[in-house]
Amino acid sequence: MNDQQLDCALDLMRRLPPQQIEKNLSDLIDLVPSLCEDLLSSVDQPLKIARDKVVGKDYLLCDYNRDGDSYRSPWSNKYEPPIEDGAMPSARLRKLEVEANNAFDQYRDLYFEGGVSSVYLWDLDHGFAGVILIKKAGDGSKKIKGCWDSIHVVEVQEKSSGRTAHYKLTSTVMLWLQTTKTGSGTMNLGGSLTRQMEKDETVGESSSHIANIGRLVEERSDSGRQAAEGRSEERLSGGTQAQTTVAPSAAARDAFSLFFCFFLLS
Amino acid sequence: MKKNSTGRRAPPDSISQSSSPEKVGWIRKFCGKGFFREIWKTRFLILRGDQLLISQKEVRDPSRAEEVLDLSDYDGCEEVRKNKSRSKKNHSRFRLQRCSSPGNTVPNLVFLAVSPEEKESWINVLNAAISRAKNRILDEVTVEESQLCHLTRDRVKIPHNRRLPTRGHLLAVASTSSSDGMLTLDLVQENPAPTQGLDRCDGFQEDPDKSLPGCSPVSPSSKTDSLLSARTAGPSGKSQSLPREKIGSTHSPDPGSRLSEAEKNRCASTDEILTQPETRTATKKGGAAPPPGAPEPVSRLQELIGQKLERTERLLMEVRQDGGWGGRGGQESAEELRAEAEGLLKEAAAAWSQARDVLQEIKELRVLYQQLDPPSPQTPLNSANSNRMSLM
Repeated sequence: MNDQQLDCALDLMRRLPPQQIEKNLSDLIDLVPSLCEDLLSSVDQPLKIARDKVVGKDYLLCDYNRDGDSYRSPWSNKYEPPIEDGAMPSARLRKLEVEANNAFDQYRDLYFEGGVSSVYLWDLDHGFAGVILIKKAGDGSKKIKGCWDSIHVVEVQEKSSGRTAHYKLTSTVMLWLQTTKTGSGTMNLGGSLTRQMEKDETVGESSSHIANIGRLVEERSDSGRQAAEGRSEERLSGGTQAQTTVAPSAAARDAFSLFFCFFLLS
Repeated sequence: MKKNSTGRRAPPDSISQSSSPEKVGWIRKFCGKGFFREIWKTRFLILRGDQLLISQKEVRDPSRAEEVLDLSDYDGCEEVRKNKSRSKKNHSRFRLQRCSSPGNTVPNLVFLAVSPEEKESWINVLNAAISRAKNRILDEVTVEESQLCHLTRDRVKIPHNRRLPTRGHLLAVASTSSSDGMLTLDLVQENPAPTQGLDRCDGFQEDPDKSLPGCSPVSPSSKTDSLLSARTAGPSGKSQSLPREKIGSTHSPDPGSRLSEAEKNRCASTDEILTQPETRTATKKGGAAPPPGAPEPVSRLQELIGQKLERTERLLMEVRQDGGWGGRGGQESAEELRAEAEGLLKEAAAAWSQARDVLQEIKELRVLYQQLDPPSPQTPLNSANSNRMSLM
């Protein structure tokens, strides 16, 4: 019964306007409080930015670094607002987390030239899991406002030999676009795309976990970007949709593809 | 309409024709022109589903029909009338018009029905079947299972050792994203100075004040009740998040003001509902209704009381008159009427005395409000409060 309820809830979330994800989610949780935990972990919300005052860097908020009402910063490894007994990664994992954050910081800089990224890891029985968050807002120049959120959840199952590991990556890309131009009118586009992939990789000196994960994310991101582009165009031209929930309001067909390309390249 | 196991289309025609036929009957079909005459042949028609079956004999088994027509190849069916014919014969001809789309090889068909009624019946039934057949394509739904599953469901999750967020927090998060589709990017959580915490508490107190409109002073008790309850409801509603935040004393004014904004928005809507104009911002003290608001309802009440008085006077007049008239009618009826009149008089008197009491109350209240007018220390207010509560 709960399973069915969760299915229905997720169905709903896919069909309601994505511009109101948080409100829809909190309303759903009001309706079915017993599903709160499941909903929070299965529904991707737009990422929020917070500032770590200790270190002086921004970090991203999501359900994976939340405990109660507080969020853990990947830089200082502390909860804000402070709480006692916040869930923490093990010492060994924290070390990996720090490396991962640095690595993806550079990745983000290279690919996005700006934006904010955060990585959070947590322990599993035979391995670990993590989430890589990237948020990039458009320049907000003139009449185009846009925002890109990517959420990569990776599960790493270390084989007993220790030399190979099984990686399972679920990537969600969220895109928000708003334009107001006299030529094309007002357009408000928002949506998300989720994909999964699995791969076995060897783990060693030259290909650490981080390197493997980074490669997977890179592969996934690129095809994700292409898919998002393709899907958005398809959607506007009235095509069918596969695994997308894109909900346009006002269509600006000719101008859109142009803006999209410029936005992503900027 | 749940998920299909594979990509499934609507069932093909051969299977769907298992329903009973909609119309069957004998008819004459036009089969060409000879040299001197037209050739008409007798045929048996079966209309079933999206197909028209034509056969020479009355066959029960439609699969043995000689001609099978798919009605989606046809546009419609209409009667055929010969304009120049002066014959008195009833015309029972109708034509099945083919679609003029390219690649359509079916011919037009002309039929002669047994009677005009039969012709009408065939025409209606065929037209309905044709439109059904044409819409068939739109009713096909192809859904693939993979498109409907939720990939995020079997994503790896964090083990159950975390606390759930409070409702207040979820609402705060929901309220930080603007409605124009563009996300507010910052959920700032900073360590505020202690004074800012005070501001928040003050902001809190303002809200219940704003939520209470300057309602009519006749019901002061209900107002104070709601004031008290709003005050207690406010903190308790946030009790979970408040202590949390106070422990760390780490909530900036921003989410705080956002929260109170959300609160204020809710309060503002109750304001609208009760359609009371906001006069001036209430003080942080007892939160009395602003005095300028009081005279308005008072005058309204006075009007109402005046009207009631008029009405009772009129009733009295009528009673007196009736009594006068009834007296002429006879003694018995006079007595009845007198009893009626007495009853009416009593009612009128009661209403009048009630109105007088209310007026008295209002006057007293007005005096009290006028006392409140100059911004004076708390004592008149507290006395006003206690006075109001005693009026309960």
